[in-house]
Amino acid sequence: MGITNPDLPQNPETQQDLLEQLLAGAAQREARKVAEEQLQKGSVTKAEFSSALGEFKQTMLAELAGLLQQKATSPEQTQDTDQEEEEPEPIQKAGRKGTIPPAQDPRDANPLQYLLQKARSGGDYDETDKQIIWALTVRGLTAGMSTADVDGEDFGDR
Amino acid sequence: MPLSTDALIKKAYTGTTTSNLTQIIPQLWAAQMEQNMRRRAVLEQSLVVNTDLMYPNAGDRVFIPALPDITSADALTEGTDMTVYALSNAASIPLIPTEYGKTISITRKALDRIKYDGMSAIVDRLAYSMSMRIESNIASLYNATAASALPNAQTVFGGSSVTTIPTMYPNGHTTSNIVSTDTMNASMLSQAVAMMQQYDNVPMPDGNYWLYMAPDAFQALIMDQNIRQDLRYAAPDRLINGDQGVIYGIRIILTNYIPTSNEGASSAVPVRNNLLVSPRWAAIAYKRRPEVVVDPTLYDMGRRRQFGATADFDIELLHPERAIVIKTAKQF
Repeated sequence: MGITNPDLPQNPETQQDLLEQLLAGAAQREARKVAEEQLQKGSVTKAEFSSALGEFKQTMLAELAGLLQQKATSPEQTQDTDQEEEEPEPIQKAGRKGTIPPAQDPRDANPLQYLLQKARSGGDYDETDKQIIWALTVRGLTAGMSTADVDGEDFGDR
Repeated sequence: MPLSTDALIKKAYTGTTTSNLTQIIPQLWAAQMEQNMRRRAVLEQSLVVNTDLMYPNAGDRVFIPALPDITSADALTEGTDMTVYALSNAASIPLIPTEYGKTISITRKALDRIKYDGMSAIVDRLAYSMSMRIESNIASLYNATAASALPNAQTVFGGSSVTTIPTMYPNGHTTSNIVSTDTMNASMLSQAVAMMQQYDNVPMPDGNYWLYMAPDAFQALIMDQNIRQDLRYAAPDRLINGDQGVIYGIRIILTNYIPTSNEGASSAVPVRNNLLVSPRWAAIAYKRRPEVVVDPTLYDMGRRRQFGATADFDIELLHPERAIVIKTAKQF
């Protein structure tokens, strides 16, 4: 049979019982360790937290969908609701912010209107203003002098 | 990033047509026209300027009151009614604006050549043309007869009524015997101030009466020994820097619009009609301020375009007793 440990029982059944006892002890120790770690972290498990979060998400989506549908079907009522509420809804507020265009030079936005307003307030023209004014003046004074000009034509199409 | 000039011009064209450009062009040049008009408004600054008629549907005439002076307040007795003073000869002077204008024609070759500065120079000339008309009309009030509605019971000359601006001649001369050596001098100024004060005329807001004087009359005045002495000891800086300034309570203002009249023996002496004025001596009413106008019609088969300046105004004498014409022989 070879070399054997004289301290160990030689009966196979006895050996099997001992192995089971060792495994049970190890399992108990591991379970105790896990329980202690859970106590230190808190009483909510990851599965429980995921489940609660999922429920919350579903509830919010359902409420938002209902609210949006209500707004789409009855705008007047929604308007009244907005007036009654002290704070506007976060979703609409965020949307409005996104539509504000960046600051633009008033001359770039509407050069003609800008120059007419400047003329009424004293006409302190810069060099670019003068070039635009001359372009408009010569366009108006020479209109019809060339056979290519047609009276009433929108110059913006050129 | 700002747009380029070309992009701005293209954008400014958008929506413009031949017809609305003829309305836009006067608006774009209105500021320069107005600036030029105000810079040259020398005599106009002494007038009452009325712009009531410039409001839409304001009609074609405005009435400016010309009231007589009231005698001193009465001493009252308790229980006795005050004597009512009737403004029986109070009047309102009607100012009815009429049209003035000047048109020029510009060829398409010139439009090819000139730029903003060229157009600016043309607007300058149009404004100058209008200024000359306004200033000349004011200066020509020197011999105007006040409107018939003006109160004739003024007693500024010891009971005699005044319907035209009083006149003064140097050296005791008159319109029939003024001679070429009757030039402007210090004595004329001091006499004129005394007369204005005897008329109970209040000075202008700066505390002086304003004398609109021809440049050659000023040259004669500055060569008067009395004036030279006064300036040397009282205001040497004024003598040196050439500022006309103030002397004897008179602010001297030079203008080329002082009219000349032929007087003296055989009407052989050209005479300057220098105007010494106080507030409310005359008034101007505008229906339209001077503005650039563009004729939409083309001329000579489209080779020429016409544009110009127009204005509607009226200038009238309000109070002849509030001004004096100082007549001096023209020097040059």
